[in-house]
Amino acid sequence: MSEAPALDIQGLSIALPRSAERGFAVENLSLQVRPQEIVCIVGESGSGKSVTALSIMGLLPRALKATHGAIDVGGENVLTASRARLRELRGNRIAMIFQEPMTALNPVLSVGNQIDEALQWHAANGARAAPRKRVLDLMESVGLPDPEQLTRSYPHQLSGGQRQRVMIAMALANEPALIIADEPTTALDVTTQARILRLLRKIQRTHRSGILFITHDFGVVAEIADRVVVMRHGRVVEQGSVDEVLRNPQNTYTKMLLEAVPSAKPRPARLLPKAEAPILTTQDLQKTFSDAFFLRAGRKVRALDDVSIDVHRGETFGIVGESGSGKSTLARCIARLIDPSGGEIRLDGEEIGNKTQAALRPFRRRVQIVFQDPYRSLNPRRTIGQSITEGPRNYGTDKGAAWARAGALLDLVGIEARALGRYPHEFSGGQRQRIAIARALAMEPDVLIADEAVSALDVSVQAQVLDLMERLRDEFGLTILFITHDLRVAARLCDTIAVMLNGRIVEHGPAQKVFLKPEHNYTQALLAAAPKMRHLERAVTEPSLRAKRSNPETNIGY
Amino acid sequence: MGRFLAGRVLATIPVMGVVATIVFLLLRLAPGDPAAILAGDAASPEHIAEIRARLGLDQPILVQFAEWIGRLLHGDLGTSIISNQPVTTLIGQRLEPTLALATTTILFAVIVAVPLGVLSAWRHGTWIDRGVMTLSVLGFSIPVFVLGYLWIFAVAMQLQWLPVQGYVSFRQGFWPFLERLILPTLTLSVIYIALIARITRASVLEVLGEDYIRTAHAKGVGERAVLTHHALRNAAVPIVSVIGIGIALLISGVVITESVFNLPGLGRLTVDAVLARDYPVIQGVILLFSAAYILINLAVDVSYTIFDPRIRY
Amino acid sequence: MSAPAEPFIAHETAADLPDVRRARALWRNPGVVFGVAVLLIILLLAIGAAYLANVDPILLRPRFRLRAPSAIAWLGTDQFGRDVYSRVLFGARVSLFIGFAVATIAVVAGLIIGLVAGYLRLLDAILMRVMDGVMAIPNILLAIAMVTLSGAGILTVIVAIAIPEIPRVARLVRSVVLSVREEPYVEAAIGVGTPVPLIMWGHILPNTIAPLIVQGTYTCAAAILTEAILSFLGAGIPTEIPSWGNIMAEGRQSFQIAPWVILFPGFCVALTVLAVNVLGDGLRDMLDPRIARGMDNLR
Repeated sequence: MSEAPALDIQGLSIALPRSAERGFAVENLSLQVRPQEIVCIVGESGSGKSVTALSIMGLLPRALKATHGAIDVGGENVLTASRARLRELRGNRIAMIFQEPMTALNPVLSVGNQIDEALQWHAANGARAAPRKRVLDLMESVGLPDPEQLTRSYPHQLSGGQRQRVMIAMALANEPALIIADEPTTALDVTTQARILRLLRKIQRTHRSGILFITHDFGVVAEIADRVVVMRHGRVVEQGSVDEVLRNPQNTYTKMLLEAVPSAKPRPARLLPKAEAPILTTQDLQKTFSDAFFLRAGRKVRALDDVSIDVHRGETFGIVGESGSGKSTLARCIARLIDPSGGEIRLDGEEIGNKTQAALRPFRRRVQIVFQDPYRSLNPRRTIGQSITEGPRNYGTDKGAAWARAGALLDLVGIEARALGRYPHEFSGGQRQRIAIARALAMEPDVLIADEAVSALDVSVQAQVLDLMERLRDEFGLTILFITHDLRVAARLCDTIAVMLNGRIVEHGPAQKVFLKPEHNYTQALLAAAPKMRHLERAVTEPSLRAKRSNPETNIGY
Repeated sequence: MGRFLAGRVLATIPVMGVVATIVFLLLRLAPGDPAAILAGDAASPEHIAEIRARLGLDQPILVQFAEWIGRLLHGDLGTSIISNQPVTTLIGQRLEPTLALATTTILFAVIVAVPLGVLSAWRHGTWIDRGVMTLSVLGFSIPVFVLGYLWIFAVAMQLQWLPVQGYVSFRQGFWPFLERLILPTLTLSVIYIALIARITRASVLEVLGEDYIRTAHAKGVGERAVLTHHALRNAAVPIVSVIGIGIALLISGVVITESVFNLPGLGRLTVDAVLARDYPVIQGVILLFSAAYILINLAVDVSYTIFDPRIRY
Repeated sequence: MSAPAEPFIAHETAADLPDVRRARALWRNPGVVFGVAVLLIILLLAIGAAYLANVDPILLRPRFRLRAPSAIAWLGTDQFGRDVYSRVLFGARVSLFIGFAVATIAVVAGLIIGLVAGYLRLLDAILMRVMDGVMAIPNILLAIAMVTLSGAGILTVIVAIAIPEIPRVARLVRSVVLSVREEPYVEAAIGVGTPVPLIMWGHILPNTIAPLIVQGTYTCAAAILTEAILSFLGAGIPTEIPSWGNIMAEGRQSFQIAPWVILFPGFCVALTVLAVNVLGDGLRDMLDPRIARGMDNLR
């Protein structure tokens, strides 16, 4: 196509303040987006992808300055534009969709008001003629139900997917030449994500805009990108059409990223010691949350509705569901961090669901949990040694023995034993999760619950932590209850899978069966929605690939 | 929303109950005989015994409490020891100057402080911001009466622009009324302005860091509109909230300010009562002011529904 | 769920740094330096009052009534001929002592109430209603009432000023407890079998220290102000013990001819309270910006 590109970045460099770890947030970046093209920037955290997006809009925080290069949108260099001119371009020629729909919309203004605002401020476009109709048309074009009614609603009354559609409507309002989407689906459920991606593809067909899509998920890239730009530490390491990059990656880092993406192919069934009685069972487990207080009747939420599962020794049992499905509630009930409202939980035959907190003491050590957020699950004021030894010391182990064991555990999870005296902030997210695993193992539990333990990690780090869990499981015969929203991760690790929806288990069976022959509609929908790596169909358990998963620069496991 | 409002109204009842209990217990927990305290220093033993019988102070505590609450609900706040008039009458006589001063102060303070706070937040880090913040710390630190005397010293004594003390009801002329309220208002409002300006600044700053402000910028909304249309509406709830809580400061300040400027209001009534150890008056004033505080804060809570639709629905 | 923020943008909260590193940064804050310097000077003056004063502070000298500041009386004399300078020096002792004592009482009581309210939901409702009730009564009036009933004296004044300050501290501690309870690391501690008292002591309490120190300084400032006001109104320290407040009380009648009796002690109060407030602000800015925002709402 000989048309001018919607976006043309040439040699962009953005300097970091002197106190930062490296000199540039973005270094010598060049890329183009043509009209009706979707270009994906892929990278992990710290790669500079978000900074690039913000710089195009002229929305960089004060500490960051673009020092070299040009950003060309429709023949104009955004970097040299005046503030007034930038204001005119924003929402008009360049529009942006942000990551968190919950916080990106003003909570006290109606949805219709906010969409109309995008039109109002660029009134020269003549849309002033019939503004209300234009707003309704926009809402309909992005698939929002009942626009007349919805226009008067407030953001908190809408679902996450609907809010994101509102953001897309605001972006489309003035037919921009370029739409920047900064991780727009990361905070959404996988089924909602699939629908939003479909909407974006439709927009690509029906509008003239070029779309710059930022993501960390190669699965999403495979779903919608025409071209891919891979970024790392502020530099472009590879660029090309989606076919080229995905089928035939040239750069080591790209290859590593691709390999780290779990495929949705279930692992081959393991041989497990044949079942005696299951180590953990729940029977008709119920949990209802209500905010009633004294005489005031509150709202009730049924988080768990007759949930029954059986977990056998040595098994990795996966619980898969989207947000609101009750999977985390189930985990916390089993770990007895909250009290169930009804039903039974049996650990090794003994009922623990109705025991008081005091009576639970002997059982606590047998069920341990690794939490989702690596940045908040370790007390920032304590050394990691103190955090790991806290548990064993509660049960009578003396200090010396506990610390010695902690050192051995750190070794086991791939961190130097010397690090016992350091504080959590000195470690990365992946390392902290390893520490959290060490802490759980220090109690020598029968059951390890991983509550979205890898969800907050970058893809490459995620793969390393999953490797670790697999290794530990094989070595110690751990029983793992693995909670996740990501089917692909579940496929990697789990022997049995239970799918939850609205507090109930809708499908339950060996992993192979659930993935290849799902029975329930919802499971089928989940599988269909998971972003597929059409270009890569490799089994992940090949040993040669695993060896390459170490950090290419230092060659040590993370 | 109905549930929210009903909840708020119901919540004030236990608080008023606690206030009434504290006031009730204060007298009875103090060292000495309650009847003697109420009778006053110069009372004879017969007078004390008479008071004890009349107020039922020899009866069991719970009965006393019930009767006292009963009287309160009928509007009977007791009788002054000194003047022998019902406390309610005394309060009625002195209400107007206090109300006038309080109203002018609140209006003045809000009109000055909110824009100052917004400006300070908008120009965060510049000398305007630092200036406003420094002035507000100063405002917190000077005792109200010292400030009052400073004003008197500077404006009334040296420059002779305004009368030093005294009060004139507005029925007797609007300008004389206003004239005598200027210095007291300027004195009393300083601490209130300092408080509101700080909270406004903090609240607006916090809101300006939120994602939806970034979205507004990304849509091409102009800076002033971002501030007023987007930021301020979200910052309103904490600001209004502190206006309500600050009433307590205001009330304490009124007592002193009236003393300094010789305004015949409730504050003066209290001070005189303190010096004369006229406990029923002190008690009555406490109850009145506490009730006012609770009701004003209730109004503040109700106003949230205007600002925040999440509370409405 | 979202990928962790890119590190060079997310340096906002210092919440992950151990306190030691932040403590060293304290000395670089101008507010802290100013506040500590001024307070040290005033403290030294107060301690050395007996040596620095040149006249007995309670000596009545009718011959020297209402003299303007001069060589014989550096800050002038009051209506009884007492030397204002000496009285101000001794008054510093009272004010600083009261400020410190009230702050200590309020912090300790507020900490206990706040911890209990934060952790035991049943007691929470009751305790918070009581705190609300105390807050609804204007603090000067409550203090006045208590002093009127019990008679003036330093202990009464301290208690009367401290009690209305307790609810603010309690609410602050409670809000810290409520938010820390939700943190995953507290759940993790429960999960490894740590009993409740140890969780309070080891995980929750350390988070309250920084906000308590800051609130303590604000309470100290408020206490010094309140004492001045109470004594000024005649419901505070009796005049045999000079305090800045009662020096000013004595100067009321004669303000128009002898303004120095009110203005000098008033300046001292303002300066001391300013120093403490500025110190508090500086501490707050250094310790945790997030808590800073929360505390502004409670002030």
